[in-house]
Amino acid sequence: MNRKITDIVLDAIKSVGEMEDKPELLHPDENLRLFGGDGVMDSLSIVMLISEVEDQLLDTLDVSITLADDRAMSQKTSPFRSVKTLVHYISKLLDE
Amino acid sequence: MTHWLIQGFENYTEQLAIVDKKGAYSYQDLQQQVSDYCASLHDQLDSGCVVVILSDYSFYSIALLLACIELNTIVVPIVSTNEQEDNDKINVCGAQVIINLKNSALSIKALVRSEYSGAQLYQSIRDKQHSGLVLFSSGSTGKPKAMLHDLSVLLDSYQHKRAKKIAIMIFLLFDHIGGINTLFNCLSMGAKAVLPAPRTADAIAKLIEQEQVNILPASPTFLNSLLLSDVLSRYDLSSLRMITYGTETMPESLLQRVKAAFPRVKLLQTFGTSETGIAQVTSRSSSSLDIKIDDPNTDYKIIDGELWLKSQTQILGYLNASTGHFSKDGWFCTGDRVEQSDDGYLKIIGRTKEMINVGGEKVLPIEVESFLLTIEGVDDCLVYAKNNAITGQAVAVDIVSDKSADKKLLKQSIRKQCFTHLARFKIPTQIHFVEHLCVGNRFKKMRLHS
Repeated sequence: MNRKITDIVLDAIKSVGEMEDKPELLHPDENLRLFGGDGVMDSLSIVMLISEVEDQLLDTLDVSITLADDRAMSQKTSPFRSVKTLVHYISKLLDE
Repeated sequence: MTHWLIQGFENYTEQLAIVDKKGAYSYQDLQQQVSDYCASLHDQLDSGCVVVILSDYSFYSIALLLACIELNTIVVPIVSTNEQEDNDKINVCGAQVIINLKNSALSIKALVRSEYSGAQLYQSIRDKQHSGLVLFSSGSTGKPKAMLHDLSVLLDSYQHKRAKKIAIMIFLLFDHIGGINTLFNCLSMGAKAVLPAPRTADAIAKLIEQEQVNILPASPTFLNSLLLSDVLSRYDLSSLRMITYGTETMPESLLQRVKAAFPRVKLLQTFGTSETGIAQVTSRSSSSLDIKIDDPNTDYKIIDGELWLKSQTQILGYLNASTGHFSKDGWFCTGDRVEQSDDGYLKIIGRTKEMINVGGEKVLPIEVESFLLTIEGVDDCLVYAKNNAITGQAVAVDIVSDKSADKKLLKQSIRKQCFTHLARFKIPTQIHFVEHLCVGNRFKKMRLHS
């Protein structure tokens, strides 16, 4: 399952990169830092990414979840820090 | 003494006054019907009493409204939505008599009220022996507010209109300031009022052809549905001379499409609020959204980008609310955001309460909608705010797409084109495809639904 989710997140990053014309997003891997600190995305890009990931989860796995809510913001480690943390957070939500 | 408006019908006796689904009626018929209603209601309606008329537009409801004016009552027109809402309105206005219209027959119910909190506001109208009009705000948030107009004063603003032999569609409803305005305009000019039922694109187009309608007042949302239903190829709409648009902000791109579809028709913007009445405005041209407020009865000012109005025809107050958006010295904050050009023209760019705040950057839905409507495959759209934990709010859009469009490809194309044409914070992050948009019973888009 984690593989599938990782693929979805990486695909979504690529499509945001293509749309925003950002070369640094075109070849993402699991260690890519996304938001905050030395992350490659600003708040507008991360909002776009989250929406893209939510759409793809619905399209490919037929699950509807909200990623950018108060719960996500109150996690000890921000789910949006890196590809890894985001994948981890999504699989946690899917397990519930 | 007969009211000047009804007296004036004598100048147009043989001309058609009203066409509804039941038939066509001359000004003489109308005058006769008003006088019949006056005779039968005279004993039951005291001057100054609060009368609810439960009906949509028809020849008989218009005659009844005029009879209530003649008898100096306070009229509350209600187009029934559901029983609960109707009852709420009846209680809020302290109705003393409810008249239900079944064809021409009146079913009259008198209510006894011992005390009523709005009585003081009514008193100023009763003291002057004027007629009154209660209208309700559309109430997109919270309970509808009941507003009291001095109907005698409002009507006087239509006096001395030049007679015109034209046919006008009464598109807006019986209990809406826009619908009331069109009706009074029509009757004061001796024009023919055409009452539609139902208000669908096809039905309206058919009626325009059949009744040779010259003026169509409509909302931008309705005009878009007129274009999408392709009625132009199926009906002869060549009688149209003028389309007036109002009640919600017109997207620039839609105006250009309407202009292209009706190249010989004059397109004019109307502007008004339930609180201040309809102001006389002039559009810079048929293809321009710029307007000039050219009304001796209306003053305006702009504070922090918002339009404020003060008019002779504004309401005396609210029956169930405090002064609302009125300042102490009587200025009304319209909630409309405007830009003013150097030569004094105004452009309405959206509603303050519909503004989306994306991480501190302000987005007006209409600007995004106007751009989206230019994209191939987008038939209609509605942009609104969606709560977002990262940027506070984010831009979301519901899209009605062309049926043949591949939604996945269309979504990609929308995102790409937005990225090249709009500032980043204005780009919709959530794109939903829907069958229909959320449009209220006032033919306006409802943007405050999330």
